[in-house]
Amino acid sequence: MQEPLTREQYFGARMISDPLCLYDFCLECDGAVAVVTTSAERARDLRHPPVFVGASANGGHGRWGQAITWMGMPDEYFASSGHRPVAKRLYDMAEVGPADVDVALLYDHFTPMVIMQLEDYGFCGIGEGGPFVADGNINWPDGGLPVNTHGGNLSEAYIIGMTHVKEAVEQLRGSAVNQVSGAEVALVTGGPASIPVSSLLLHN
Amino acid sequence: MRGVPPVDVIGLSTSPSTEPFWQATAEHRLVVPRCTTCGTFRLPPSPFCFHCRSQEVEWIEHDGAGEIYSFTVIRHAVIPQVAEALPFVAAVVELPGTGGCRLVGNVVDCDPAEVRIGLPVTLDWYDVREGESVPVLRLV
Repeated sequence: MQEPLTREQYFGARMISDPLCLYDFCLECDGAVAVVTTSAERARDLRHPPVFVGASANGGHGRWGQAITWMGMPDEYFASSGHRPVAKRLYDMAEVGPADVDVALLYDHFTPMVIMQLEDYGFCGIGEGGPFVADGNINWPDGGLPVNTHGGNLSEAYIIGMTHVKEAVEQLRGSAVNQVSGAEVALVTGGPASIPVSSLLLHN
Repeated sequence: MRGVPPVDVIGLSTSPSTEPFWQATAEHRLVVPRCTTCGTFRLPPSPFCFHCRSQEVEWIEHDGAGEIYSFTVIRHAVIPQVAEALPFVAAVVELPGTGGCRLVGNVVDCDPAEVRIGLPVTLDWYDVREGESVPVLRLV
């Protein structure tokens, strides 16, 4: 998306599949992102400031994969992104919690998945994602948890989520276009809905 | 029947674990596999019980009556062949007595604006071709 999207344009767009309208779906894009990984020791000698992997987790709830094609997921997490068990593993592994995350790059092929991931990663209570967003908490630069500062899959480019990794790295190097001041910990998530889902916690 | 895609875009392919389900639908019967080891129902039909990993099932007939658990109204033709069917309603219905098994089907011959979560529906059948019928839902 090259131009600002107004609230009026968003709500005025045609409905595709209720309640999702035109701007709730990401665009198919061509592009490529490369990530160079190496040991922390070697990274220190390279030209760019290193960004460290604090934790990575991949998987999902056992019932989720069996159930999703026929929408048979148990009630307790029907309206979720499928990330809850992975979020817990990620935080446990990195020994941090949602309050420690400075910027979140949430996989956003469809708008509702952002709201559900905010809940599943503990940034707000289950079922409170809508009001949490409406209150401005995910805004840049003034919200407590800026989300998808690069525009995400929905508004920058849909390179199957890899631009989220790139944005997290730039945020932690202090070189992002929409820089979150003093960002030290970034959450990157991948592939909500069908399992396996995956996520990364990066820090500088 | 309004609210279903044309027959030429529907093709059923079965596997050993789903074949009894689709054989029953051809006779306008809905059957739900129940694990003979632990008694857990499951849909869609699948090779292993998600609860106990057993492969043995018995096929329990269900009348398909239930309440709408969730739904969407499709207003965009992902493929041009479904354009004439727009708008149509895809709904999820929870089947009472199955421990939470759900069936996905189009709500046919309805005004999409009238569909709500919690409304009761009954089962009907969309005959695609000889030997192939697909379950659909009707508002009560």
